[in-house]
Amino acid sequence: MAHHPYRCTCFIISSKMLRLLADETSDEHERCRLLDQAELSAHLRGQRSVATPTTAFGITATGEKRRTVYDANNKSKLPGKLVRGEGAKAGDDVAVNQAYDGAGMTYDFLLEVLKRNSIDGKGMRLDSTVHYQKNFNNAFWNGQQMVYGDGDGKLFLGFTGAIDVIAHELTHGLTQNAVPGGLVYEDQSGALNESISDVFGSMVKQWTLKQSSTEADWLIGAGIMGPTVGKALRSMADPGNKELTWSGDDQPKTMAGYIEDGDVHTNSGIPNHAFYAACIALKGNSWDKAGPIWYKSLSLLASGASFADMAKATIQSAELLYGADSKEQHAVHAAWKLVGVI
Amino acid sequence: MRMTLRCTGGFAGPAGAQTRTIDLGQLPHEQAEQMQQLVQACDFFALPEKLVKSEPKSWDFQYDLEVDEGGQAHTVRYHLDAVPDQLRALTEKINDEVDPD
Repeated sequence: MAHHPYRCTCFIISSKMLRLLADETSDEHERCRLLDQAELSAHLRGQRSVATPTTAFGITATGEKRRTVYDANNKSKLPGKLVRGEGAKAGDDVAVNQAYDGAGMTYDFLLEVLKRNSIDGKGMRLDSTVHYQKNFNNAFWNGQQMVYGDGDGKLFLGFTGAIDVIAHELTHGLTQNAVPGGLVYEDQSGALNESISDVFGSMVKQWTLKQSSTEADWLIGAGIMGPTVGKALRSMADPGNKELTWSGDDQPKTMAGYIEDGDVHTNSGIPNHAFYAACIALKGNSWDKAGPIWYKSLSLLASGASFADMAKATIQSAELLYGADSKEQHAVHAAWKLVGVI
Repeated sequence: MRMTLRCTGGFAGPAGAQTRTIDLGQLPHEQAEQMQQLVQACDFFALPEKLVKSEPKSWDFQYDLEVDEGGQAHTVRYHLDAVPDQLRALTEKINDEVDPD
């Protein structure tokens, strides 16, 4: 755990003083720390506007892992009350601790596996708010931070309990940054947006559990649904298999089941299954080869990309990473053919 | 006046869709009056059936609000960033003050 020399004084020194100290230091690393502390201090005092170095999202870039968790106290106002900052000890609130830990695992995955510093590549801080609204059956990335509901206790039990849910939503931020212009959230580009989040969500889960592609369950949202409702929200191994997921699972597995004007969470089953098939064919761990191929393809997409565009981009990425006519490129090609995209 | 607000999006998509049903006659007078004023202020019955963004982002939740009053009913599908301020305020007020069905 990193030592934070300013933590003990951040409640005493004013935001203004911290910003003055930041202006005076010649050490960029220290400057970022001071500015970050100034912002945290400002939040505690109910201030919202603080001049800090920002990323493309308008969020503070600290250059290192920096997680902050807030509590909305069942209201809609964001970010809510600051309850845990980077390096602070775990408290009694399970959702706070899960949001903190999940953001950390996702950050670690991006850095260690993909050599990417946070979701913007520039060390963007990862803010999360828990206990959003009453009985809120959802979690979302709002363009700047993560937001988690508690669930209604019947259909959903809460959204911080599954690492793949946390990584899924943070990946929306990654996609928005890595795909030029982001992916428009409707039709096939929207389903791709969802699929990429499922792909990285599942991969972070597998990486955390050190599971190979054949050992993984490939479920999205396992454990967050009420036991009488189902076991998970989606299956990448067998999209639409209600025995593995829940009674409302309507995901198609191949283009034969593609639903025109379908919801982005529905048609995402097709590219999800392509990723699964590529991983199984390539053996080993999902993050060894297929993961980097999918990641590299993001920069080759346009905002209105279709499934065929994604197939082309991943095949091209496989060639860039492993060579033309490589077994990796053949595996990716075969995966998209299996789901009927090419 | 009766209102039904359905919201879908986020991680769960349709699986996590939530509906809030409001009968203003059952609400405290002040709260009902505030909601009714917002409906009138945004001229709800004159709004088009769709007020959606041309290039929505993953964080754009889709709302469907149906308002039924005195024999007339109207439904609008929208993204929050694409609507008049009064409809946005009404949506946030319902989300904050009314529990899901």
